[in-house]
Amino acid sequence: MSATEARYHLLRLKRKYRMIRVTEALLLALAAGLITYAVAYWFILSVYGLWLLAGIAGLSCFIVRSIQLGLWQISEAGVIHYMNQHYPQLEESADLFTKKDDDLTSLQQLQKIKSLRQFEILYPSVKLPHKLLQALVIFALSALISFGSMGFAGKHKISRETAIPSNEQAGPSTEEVLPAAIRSAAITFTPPSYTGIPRQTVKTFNLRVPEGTNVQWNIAFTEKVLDAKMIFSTHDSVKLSNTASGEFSIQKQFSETAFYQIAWRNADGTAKYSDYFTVETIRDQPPVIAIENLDQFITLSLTDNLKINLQSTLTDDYRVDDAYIIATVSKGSGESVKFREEKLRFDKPGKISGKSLRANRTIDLVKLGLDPGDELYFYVEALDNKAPQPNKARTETFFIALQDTTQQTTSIDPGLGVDLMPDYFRSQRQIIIDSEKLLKEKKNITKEVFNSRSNDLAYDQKVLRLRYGEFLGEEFESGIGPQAALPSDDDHEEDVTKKYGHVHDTENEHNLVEEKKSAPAQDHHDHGGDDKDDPVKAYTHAHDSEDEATFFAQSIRSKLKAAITVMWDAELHLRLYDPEKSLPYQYKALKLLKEISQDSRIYVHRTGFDPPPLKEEKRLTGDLTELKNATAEKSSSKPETYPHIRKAAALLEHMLQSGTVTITPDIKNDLLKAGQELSVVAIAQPGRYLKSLSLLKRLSENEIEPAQQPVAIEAIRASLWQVLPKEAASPQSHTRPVHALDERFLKSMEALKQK
Amino acid sequence: MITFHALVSPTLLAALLVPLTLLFLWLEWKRKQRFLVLRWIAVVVMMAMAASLFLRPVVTSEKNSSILLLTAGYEKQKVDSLLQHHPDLQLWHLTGVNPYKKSSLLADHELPIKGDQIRFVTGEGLPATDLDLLDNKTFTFIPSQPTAGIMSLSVVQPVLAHHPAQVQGTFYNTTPEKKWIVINGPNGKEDSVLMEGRGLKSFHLSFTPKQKGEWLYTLAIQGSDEKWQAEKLPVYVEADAPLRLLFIQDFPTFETQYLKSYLAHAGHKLILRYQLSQKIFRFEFANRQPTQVNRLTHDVLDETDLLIIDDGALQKLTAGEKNILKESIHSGLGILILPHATKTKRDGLFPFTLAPVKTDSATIVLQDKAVTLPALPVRLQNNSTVQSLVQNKSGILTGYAFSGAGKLGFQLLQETYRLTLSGDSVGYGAFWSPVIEKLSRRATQASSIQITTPFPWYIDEPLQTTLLSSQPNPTLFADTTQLPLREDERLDDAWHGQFWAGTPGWHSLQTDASSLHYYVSEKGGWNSLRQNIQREQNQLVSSASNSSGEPVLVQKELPALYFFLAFVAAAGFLWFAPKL
Repeated sequence: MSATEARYHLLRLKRKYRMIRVTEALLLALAAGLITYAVAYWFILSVYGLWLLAGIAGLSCFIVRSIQLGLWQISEAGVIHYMNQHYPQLEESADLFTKKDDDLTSLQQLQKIKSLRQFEILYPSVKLPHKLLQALVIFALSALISFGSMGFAGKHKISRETAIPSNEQAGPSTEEVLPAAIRSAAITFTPPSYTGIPRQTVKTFNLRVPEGTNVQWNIAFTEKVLDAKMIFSTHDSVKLSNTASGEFSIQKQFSETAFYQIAWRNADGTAKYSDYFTVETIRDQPPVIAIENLDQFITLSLTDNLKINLQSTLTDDYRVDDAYIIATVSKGSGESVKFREEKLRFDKPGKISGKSLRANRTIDLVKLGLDPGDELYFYVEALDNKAPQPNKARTETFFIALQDTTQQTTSIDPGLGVDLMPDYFRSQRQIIIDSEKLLKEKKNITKEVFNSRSNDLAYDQKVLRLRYGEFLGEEFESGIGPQAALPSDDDHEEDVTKKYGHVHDTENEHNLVEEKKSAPAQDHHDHGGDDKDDPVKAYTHAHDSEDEATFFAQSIRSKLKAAITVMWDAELHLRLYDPEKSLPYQYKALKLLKEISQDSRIYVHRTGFDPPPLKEEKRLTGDLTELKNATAEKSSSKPETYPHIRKAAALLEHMLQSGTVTITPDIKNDLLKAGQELSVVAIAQPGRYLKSLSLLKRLSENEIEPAQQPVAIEAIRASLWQVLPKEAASPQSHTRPVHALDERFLKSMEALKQK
Repeated sequence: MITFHALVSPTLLAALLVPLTLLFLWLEWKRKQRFLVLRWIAVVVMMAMAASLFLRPVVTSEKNSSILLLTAGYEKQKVDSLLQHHPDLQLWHLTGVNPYKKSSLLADHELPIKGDQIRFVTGEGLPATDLDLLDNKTFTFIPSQPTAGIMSLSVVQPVLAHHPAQVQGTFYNTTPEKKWIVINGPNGKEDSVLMEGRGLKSFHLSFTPKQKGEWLYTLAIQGSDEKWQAEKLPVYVEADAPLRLLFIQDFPTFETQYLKSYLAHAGHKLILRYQLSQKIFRFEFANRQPTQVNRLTHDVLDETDLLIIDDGALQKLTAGEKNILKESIHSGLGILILPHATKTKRDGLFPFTLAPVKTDSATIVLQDKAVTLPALPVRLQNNSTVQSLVQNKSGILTGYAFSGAGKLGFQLLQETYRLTLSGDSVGYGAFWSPVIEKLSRRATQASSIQITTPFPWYIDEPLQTTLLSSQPNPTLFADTTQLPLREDERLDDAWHGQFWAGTPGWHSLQTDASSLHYYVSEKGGWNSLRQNIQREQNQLVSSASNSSGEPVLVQKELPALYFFLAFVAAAGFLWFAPKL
């Protein structure tokens, strides 16, 4: 072997080494890429993403390995060094191969020739260092692992993909085929901001969106179209607006489930319709509140623990924004029931906000001022974040009664301690009796006592007047007329008005039978700001006209007014410590009140049957000649439900039986009419009937392939049959053939019977 | 004994062959070669064989004439057993049936000829058309084991919209495996039943059609390999036929008011009469022209299918009206009496005795649900002649007795409108519909058509039909073809006809007054049902007489090939003999 050949061989060795190492690094890179691909596959990424990740991993592995091995720095010297190191036969003289003979000493030349000879022998068996086998094993293992894991991930991935729409409660359904003439469609839906669902653009036509979502369609047609419009739920059509880019667009907000169809005319004027698509809205549900640890009716005695721990769970589909407890304390019994309402905040958490949370509150009955015999009604109310009007939900009312062991209660229903029929017509007589008694006892008592008792009676008279005043809408007029001199009276009066007059517990209707009084009371709060036109009104405190704000007819009202006027007089004389003068007024008031009570009864009677006057001469004569039979006619056979669906069902059955589908204009008309009837049902349940509706449309247009027709017709027929309601069976006339033998048989039977 | 089926005249043949034979014999003698005797024999044999080729000799022997006919699905063991007992039976098989032990094919046209000789038929039997060809059916039928499937089937007629329709049948299972039978309607599964165990079991399915017309339901049977075998079940849902009802009451009640609106909505013709004073009434009419019914007459009652009357009104009828009513009931009118617990007495119009009970309510089963309704505190005593319509453990609550062609009904349940008020209007219909239908007069029909050939019917098969018609010369059309009819020689007004089923699908038979819709099934459908019907028809004509059959002479032609071979052999010997 010559030195040139030896150098050539060295160069080949260098190349070979590099090739081996590059292959090794490539194998490792591939392994890394495969593993990365498999791992990323478990996470939902697009195909491009997967490839990119795997590529990056593989490339980086390759680069690292090649740097590690110094692949790009391999030199001839390195190879020579390696040969010298590993093959002692060369006697460390391999570097002589690279040098020219002229530069070498004779000894070196001799050595070179010797080494060359050795190299010639050695060359075929030179082994270069490598880890090719190792790399191959790693590659094989990684391939095995990644394909294996992807095989499992397949199912996993599918299940995750299907789970997505339900998790997000919005989003496109499966990809569907675009109508032929539509080149592309981009549907952007913007859910209301409070839902926190981002705006999305999809290419699918069937949508499932939260309530109140704004949907925008951008549709591009393959050819020039005219008069493009969108038909919502088969009747409401909106024209599509043409944008600058040649696309058609339309925007609509959906608060109800609907379906739609795109309609257009081709350049040649033929009308075209797309399939039906749904826009299903997901209702924003009100919050769900659960009180877990309390019974609805709780009765406690004074010795029990009077701190009630209320635990409730609040959940909402988006977010609960606020929640509180409305507690009402009911005190007293009979006529003197008082209500006090409080809005209690939860102790924990401080601020109510979240999708699902637990809230606690300890209700201290003593702090709320509950005494024995009192009751507490409460319920929890929660609001979600829906805008503009949040959804509100409340629990049932819970009742806590604190037992009064000192008193025998006669109340039948302990839940609602309100006596709704106080006995108004007793007190005037009582005042008269007391006044007469006072006059009788006048001689035996001191003047102070007499005056004081007279004043007390005046107060009773006032209370009575106020009560009747309520009927005339005078409940706020306690201040009119002469006021009692005694300051204590004022206190009492205020108490009384609070008690009987103006009750500000309008939130309490849930516990009470509706009080008619509450309407004017509400008015009292509401008026004010709206009266800008009338400057006088703005500065006066005017109520409803008294003449209109009563329960009674004109005659009774005037009597009631008179009675109240008389009561004023009676009270006046009692206040002047002159019961004697007061008594006639009191009697008069009593008489008027009795009349009123009688009148109201007559008033009720008058609403009944008012018979025509009888002719006296005809009475009891028994003459019925003028009386005739009365008749009432009715032709109320119920119209057949879904007549066109019935007709279409029979048509389809015939098509299925005969195996031929011919769509004549008449049949098309029948099918279209059935489609209209079906569409009405489909609005309520689009998921159930929409597919059939679209099949029906395609069938009527004869657009279904003959091979698929039987399956399609069966599907439509099943839907039509489902729509037909289950009706009550009606008796039917049955027939029997007449035969002379029947008659003879019956005659023989009769003859036998008679024997 | 040997006879000849000569192809040419034997005399002519003898005239030709005898001189020829003599000539050949003389020529052989003249040759002066060896084997003269043998050559002579060869000449004789050759000429005899040539004669036989033209004379076709036939061997006649005496044999037993009885035939064992093999039909489709015959079992070899049974044939073997029969042959063991009757070794001289002749074996014949029908067209399309696998031959067995050299059985001969019996062509269809031979059936009438051989019919008298058939002593045994085994397998599925002869089809009805073949049975018709036999004049004397004297054979014993030995059926094969049936295959698994439906053995009998009937849909209770008439099928009406919104009325539960019943399908009854029997199913034969050859294995102990459980099998489902499912009835599918236009909207999928309607009802199903699980058949357990081996052998013949009856089943019962129901479905409720929603729409009149011609429909195909399917009856699917689960096969042994989990495959479903579906058969098309034709269902003709009849159109609604309204009734004419007359209500006579002292005063309106909630019960009748609800009944009125239920019936009026369904399109029935109603007259309601309430008494205002002795001769003054209040009338209500629905779906008909107003006609005031001041008293019950024949005309009024002839125009009525059902009279619903309460006890008070019944008592107030005059004796004349009661007689007219009785006569009308006798001629077909139905009457539903709403009795009073104590006041109603037994008489000609109310032939029931009521005994007091303590309970004033009754629980009945309606559409598989228990429903409790108020009832009069009485129950029926003499119930031997009473047909029950609604009953529970305490006795009959609604029932009727026949009176001539009409029916006398009573109703002890009250306030049935509660069902409607509780939202169960379907249940209300399910209660009243059968009661009113059963009691109402049956409309007379001038003619009625019936196909007597049992279902299923296939294309190109003869179907027998019977027409009952009071007309002197009725006409019957199958689709558009008029059928020739033959009057029954024994039964008056009955006519018979035969026609051939057309293409698979719905067809109809019509007369002037009525029509019948029938469905021609595709060949191969309802196989087990058809086989079973055939077996039953054969069993019906099968006789157990043990006649041994008369001996007959059987001729057997000797094969011409043998003669030809013998001829060739003899001629060959003659050619070869000189070379020996």
